[in-house]
This record gives sequence, structure tokens and C-alpha cells, in this order.
Amino acid sequence: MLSKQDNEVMCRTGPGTDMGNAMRHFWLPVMQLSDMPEPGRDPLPVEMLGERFLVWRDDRGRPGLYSEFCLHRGASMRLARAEGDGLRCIYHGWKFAVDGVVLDTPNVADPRFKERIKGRTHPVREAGGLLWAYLGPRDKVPAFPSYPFMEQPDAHRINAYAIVNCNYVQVIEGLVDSSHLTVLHASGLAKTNGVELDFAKKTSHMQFDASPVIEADQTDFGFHYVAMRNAGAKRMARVASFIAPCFVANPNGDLWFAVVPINDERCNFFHVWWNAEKRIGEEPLRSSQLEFVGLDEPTLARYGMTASTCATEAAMGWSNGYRQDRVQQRAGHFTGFASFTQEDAACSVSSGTIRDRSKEMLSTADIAISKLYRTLLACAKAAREEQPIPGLQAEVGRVVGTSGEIGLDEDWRGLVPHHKIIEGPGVRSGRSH
Amino acid sequence: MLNRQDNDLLCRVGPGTPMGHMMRRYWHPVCTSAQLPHADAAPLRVRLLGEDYVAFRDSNGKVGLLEELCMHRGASLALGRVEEGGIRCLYHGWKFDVAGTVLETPNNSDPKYRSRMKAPAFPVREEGGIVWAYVGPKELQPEFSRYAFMDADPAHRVVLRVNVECNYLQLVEGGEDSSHVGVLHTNMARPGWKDDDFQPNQDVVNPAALSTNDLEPVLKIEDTAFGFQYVALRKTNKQGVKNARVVPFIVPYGRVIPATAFLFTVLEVPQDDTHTSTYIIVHGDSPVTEEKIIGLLGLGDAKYYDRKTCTFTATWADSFGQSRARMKENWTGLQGVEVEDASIALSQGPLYDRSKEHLVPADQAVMRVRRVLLDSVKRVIESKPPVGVGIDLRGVSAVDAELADGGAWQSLVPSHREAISA
Repeated sequence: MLSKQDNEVMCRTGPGTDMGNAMRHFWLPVMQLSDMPEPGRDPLPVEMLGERFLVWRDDRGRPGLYSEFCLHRGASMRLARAEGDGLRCIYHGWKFAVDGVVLDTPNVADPRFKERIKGRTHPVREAGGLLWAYLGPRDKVPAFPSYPFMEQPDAHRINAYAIVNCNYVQVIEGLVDSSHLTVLHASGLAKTNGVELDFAKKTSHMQFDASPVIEADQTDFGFHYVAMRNAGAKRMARVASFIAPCFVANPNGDLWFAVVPINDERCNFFHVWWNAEKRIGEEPLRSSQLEFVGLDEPTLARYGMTASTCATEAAMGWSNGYRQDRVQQRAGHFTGFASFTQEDAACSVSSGTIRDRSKEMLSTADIAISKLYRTLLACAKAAREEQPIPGLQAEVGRVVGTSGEIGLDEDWRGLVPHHKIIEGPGVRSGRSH
Repeated sequence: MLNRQDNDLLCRVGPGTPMGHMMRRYWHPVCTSAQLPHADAAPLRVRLLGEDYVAFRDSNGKVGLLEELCMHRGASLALGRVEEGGIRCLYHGWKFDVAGTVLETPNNSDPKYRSRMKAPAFPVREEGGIVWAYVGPKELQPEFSRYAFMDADPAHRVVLRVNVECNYLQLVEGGEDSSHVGVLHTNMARPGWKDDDFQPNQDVVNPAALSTNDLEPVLKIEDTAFGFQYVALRKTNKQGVKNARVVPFIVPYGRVIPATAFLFTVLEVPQDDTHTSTYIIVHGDSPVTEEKIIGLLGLGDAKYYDRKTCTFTATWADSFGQSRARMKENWTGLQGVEVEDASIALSQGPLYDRSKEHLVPADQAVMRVRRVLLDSVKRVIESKPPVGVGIDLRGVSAVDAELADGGAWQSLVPSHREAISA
């Protein structure tokens, strides 16, 4: 439970908000590289953290992220001409390269003028099938993260994303909430029994215990938590890691999420799978994976979860019953939704665009949820007080999600010995495991 | 650049705001005459400076302006019946004439009752194809300011209204900004731009037709009784000769832009903080048609302009109709002077935040607009009359002409200086 005030602090990420300022200190994914414009083509509008930008590649293929409004008198760069080495504002013709170099200011005769000013572009990087950007203060650019999936070639990686019409925190809550899996995804998990996908094999056991034991520790990158389910004389432990400010490493070990606010009421939900051995990024593995979890294009479009459908009547909402199939549900399907992705999104969206957390009732199954609130609020507070932001300095490349069998008395933290715990029952003194 | 406080001071025009007080001291256009086409025509809702009114033309052809909501129980008079010398509220039948006299109150038969009351009506004038009203303090009502276009032959004049969904100042600033003409209006200002082969546009009606290719005009500015006048001086290919475009700024939101054979008087009338009615009045010494002007402004296309409601309709939903495919041949991918100006102003957002901009010498006239408006607000706060209120504006004009080096640009429109001494 959170007060309305804390809830606002945690959820609002627009310019000038505490949480927004905290997020702007991190490198964040903007979009999938596969959706970027070709070199020299027209700029593409994107929205992120409640701000509008233009994504562009110059004719040499260099990517750029431009703030919406021209440096000079604020006309929108969305109208700008794409002219090879830069975007030219159509109002007075000022022209900017992707790195912010001002190439031309036709209404200022002094040639040195343009050398003294810098266009409103932001640092960007291409990695792991994603375009990343840093939107914070220019003197505080952090080290670029090095996640394991960034080392995989396209053939060994699947990038997919969905748009969810609610606040980003609601989507992250679903990712650090093991106890919902057995219930909400009952029908999906039942399907895993005969399926050959790695994903299916890794999740199949969860259908048999609906009340896992949950424990969590605050770590240098955010927090990690475990869900332990009894399996005879052993326990199955699934450890997920939340990496500030909006990333999750899934216990399956080969799946990573980023939930990036588009604005306070809509977010991009990026998924990355990787596998060093299998060419999962190629057909037929790629499509069968995406179809299994409901991230294939036709299914996403049917529920209004793509860029072109999220603001249309296709989008799940109260007026269309969140596109739930009640006939299918009566026929035996637990929820009446296409797959995991739609089940999660329907629950997230159904609480309202920004869920009011002053009216909830958390239980012991929700320990990770309250850790999430604490972590995010600590980020916001640090930004407000201009203190170091939790997670910003952590070496996130070594942070994992994982799962494994452990004995009844065995500490699950042995599965993640390298995670640096800074607070919680499992805090280690001095020595490392 | 402005801090947010000054930006708000300049942009917010509702009741009780400093700019709202200043603006209410002037006469304002409230609709075109054509919007009330005949006696007893349908009444029209009018929004001006953040308040709502109803305009109607009575049986004798006289126009009245009342507060929108009926004085009895607040139903909108825009739903009312216009008949027999007045407007009648649908709800209980109260009827008012253009002066605010209460003619009938059917649910109270005592004639003394209605004679004691007066409906909130405002002074109205109909001049130059436009209905004007004064909504400021009664005791401070100024003389009605006449413009040159009011004396033009109606066959030589076109009046258009274009409602645009953004703050008035963005539109005003685009009008006192010579350096954008050669860029944003490249298609019309610099035909041949694609092959770097400048050919002057020969259309004598087009105000964006520049006679030179110089994109770095030098600006000079002089305050006048009505606001200020400025000149944009552009290099020509003649030795010792510059091209001079003189444009006035008429407090609080007016300008005149020169085409070769016509003048474009443009008034950016605030409906409220994020809606503006742009009145464009074209006049000259020869006949001109509405179709010609609408085509020139790019408003002939239904995707841009709803002629029935006088509304600019393009939005981000269709990227202002910008055609990226055509941008090799067409500089902006847009079509027409007003389409380009309105799209740019809308692209700055509903109320542009000037705390983040980077002004340059070519923006001097923009800076002067802000200063003159702030000065005028300050004068009203100090109980002085605002700049130029009630003066005769018939001498305010604009010109695009050659000027020999060393010549006084002010001599190109001598009447502007006469207005100073007036």
C-alpha cells in the first residue's frame, strides 16, 4: 500500500518529475532497431517519458534522437526536411546533425555562430537489437550497460515488444509476482506439458503449487527475489532480478524485459530472449516462441498492443470487456485470453491507467511488490535530493535471473552468489560466497 | 527567450489576467459579416479573450453581441430564435434587442419588471466586412480605429477568418519574422530553389513572393504610435541597392504584409489561451476573388480548412498533410502560405514555452513584439492608456521596394512616422 502522494511520485515520469529525473539518469531502450528508419529516410516520431522525439538515421547510417522542438524558435522537428547529413527545420532552415552539430543557420550571417551552439540531440547507442538513449544531464552520462544478450548476433536473439495502455509500474509488478503465474496463466502453463520450447519446459512445474514461499533482498542493482515451490524432498527456486529503474531478468535465465514509459498512461514492454547455442532468432523457432506467448504481430494487433493499434478501438478497455473471450472461458479456458502477454496486459490495464495503490491489500505473496515500490521511491528520492541514484553504478551485466532445485534447508542465495546484497535477511557481512 | 512568468504574462488573456485587461481596452473582430449573412440569420457563438458571447443580426440587419448565457437562468442564447427585432431565449422566451433592452419576459407579465433590467450587451460596429465589438470597461471605451482596408471597394477586398488551435502570440511572432519567409515559404518565395536557380515569383497577389534570394535579412526597427515598424533589408544583384520590406506591428496583434499589388492585413484575435481566430483581409486597387486568396493560402483543400466553421482542421493526426514523398520537389511538403504558417505555429504546441529557445539577430522584431506588448501591459497597470488605443490606423501600411544604400527606410512609408507625432 502506498499513499496517493507516494503513488504519484513513483508513477509520474514526465519532465521535471522526481521519478522522471531518476529515469533520465539511465540508458533506456527507445525502440527496436528493426523499426528504425533506413539511412536518409524520414524522421520517425517517438514518445518516451512523456516527451516527444524524432528518431532518424543520416545518410551514413548514424542514428540520432532529436528533441521535438527546434533549438531556435521551437517549431516541431517532425516537420523537418531530411537532408542527408542532417535534419533541417522548415521554419527558418536551421540544420542539425545527429550528434547535435549545427550545420546551417541561414538567417545568421556570422559563420562562427553555429559553432557556438549545439542542437538538441541525445546520446544514442545500438545494442542487443535495441536503440538506447540517454536523456539526462550531459555531464552525468553513465557507463553503457553490457547485458549478455548484447553479445549475441541477431540469429541467436529474439526481440519483441508490446505496447500496454497503462502506467509502467503496473507492468513491472506482473514481472516480479511469481504467485500469479499458477493462477492467471493456468491454461497457458497447462499447454506447456507437451511443448518442446525451452520456455515451456522451464515454466511447466509452476502449475502445481499456487502458494510459493517468497523472499527478497535489496541489492546494489535494485532487488532480487525468490519463489520457492515444494517438489518432494527438494524445492524448486526461481530467482528474478529487478534492475533499476525498469528492467527485469526473468528466472528462466534467457529472458530480459524493459518496461519504458511512453507517457504516464502507456508503456513499451520490450522482451529479449537469447540463446548462445540455438538460432532462436530464425524461423521456425522465432515465430513459435512469439506465438506461444502471444507476442506475434496478429495477436498483438487484435488486442491493440502495437504502435498502430494501441490508440484504436482494438485496444483492451472497459468498453470492449478487455477483449476477453467469455465463450472460450465457459468452454474451460481459465481466462479467455489468447496467451500470457494478453493475460498480463489485461490485468495491468484493468486496474486503471494509473492504479491507485492506497486501496490495495498486499499479502506475504507480494513481498517483491513492496520491494519494487521501495526501490523506485528510493530512486525518485535520490533524484530529488541530488544523491547517487540506487542502481546507477551497479555492474548490471552480471545480474541474472535463474532457477534451480535446492534442498529443503539450502539457502537459495547460493544460486546467485555474485549478487551484491545490501539489505535484507540474506545480507552478507564482509566475505563473498 | 522569456522566463515562464513573462511567457504566461504575454500569453494568458482570460478575465483577470494582466494581458486580458490590456487587450480588453481595444475593439476586436468577433466574426466576419459573412458569418451573419442576412437579417434574422442563425446566431453565432463567439469566444473572445476566454469568455463566451452570442452574435446575432436582427430583423433590421443590425448586429448585436450579448453574453452567451441568458440573464434569466443561463441557457445559451445561441440556441435562441432570432425574430422581430431581437433574439429570444428558447427556455422561457425572454427576448433582447441588440442594445440589451429586455423586450419581453413572458413568465413575468409586469412591464416594469423588465424595464428595470438591461441584458449584458456590448458596443458593436460593422466595418470592412468584419463585426467588431468592445468588451472592456464602459467608461474607457476608445474611438473606433479605422484601417485602410475599410475604405476599399468591396470588389477589391477579401475577408477570411481562420480559427487555429494555438496561442495567438505564436501566430503574431510568425508575422513579425521576415527571415522565415525565404525558408518556410521557399516554394513561393524562391521558385527554382531546387536547382539553385532563383526566379522571382511573378504572382502580384502572393505576399511570400520575395524579390531576392538573400536568406539573412538585416532588420531595423523603430517604435511608432501604433506599436512599431521594422524593415528587412536583403541584398540584391544591383550595386548599392537593397530590397526593403517594411512591416508594421499594430498593438495588440495586428500586422500588414505586402504583396506586389495587394496588402494583407492580418489580425490574430485570441479566443482564449490556446485558440486564435486569424482574420486575413486582402485589399488593393484591382479586383480580387475569395477563390484566388483561398488557393494562395492553401485553404482550398478540405483537409486544411472547413469553410463553414472557418476552422483550420489539419493536426498531427495526419502530420498536417505533409507529403514526405513530395519533399524533393516541394520544400515543405505542404501547400500554401497560411497552411505553412498555421502548421508551424501548431507544431510549437498549444502554448509555446519560450524559456527554451535560442533567438538570433534575425529575431529582433519578434523580441520587439514581446517588449512592446509588455510595455503596453505595464501602462495599463499604471492606469495609463495602452499603446495606440483608439488611434486612426488608415495610414498603417507595408511595402516591398528597392532602397538605395544610405536612403532612409522610414521614408518608404512616411505615414508611419506621421502617426508618431499624432
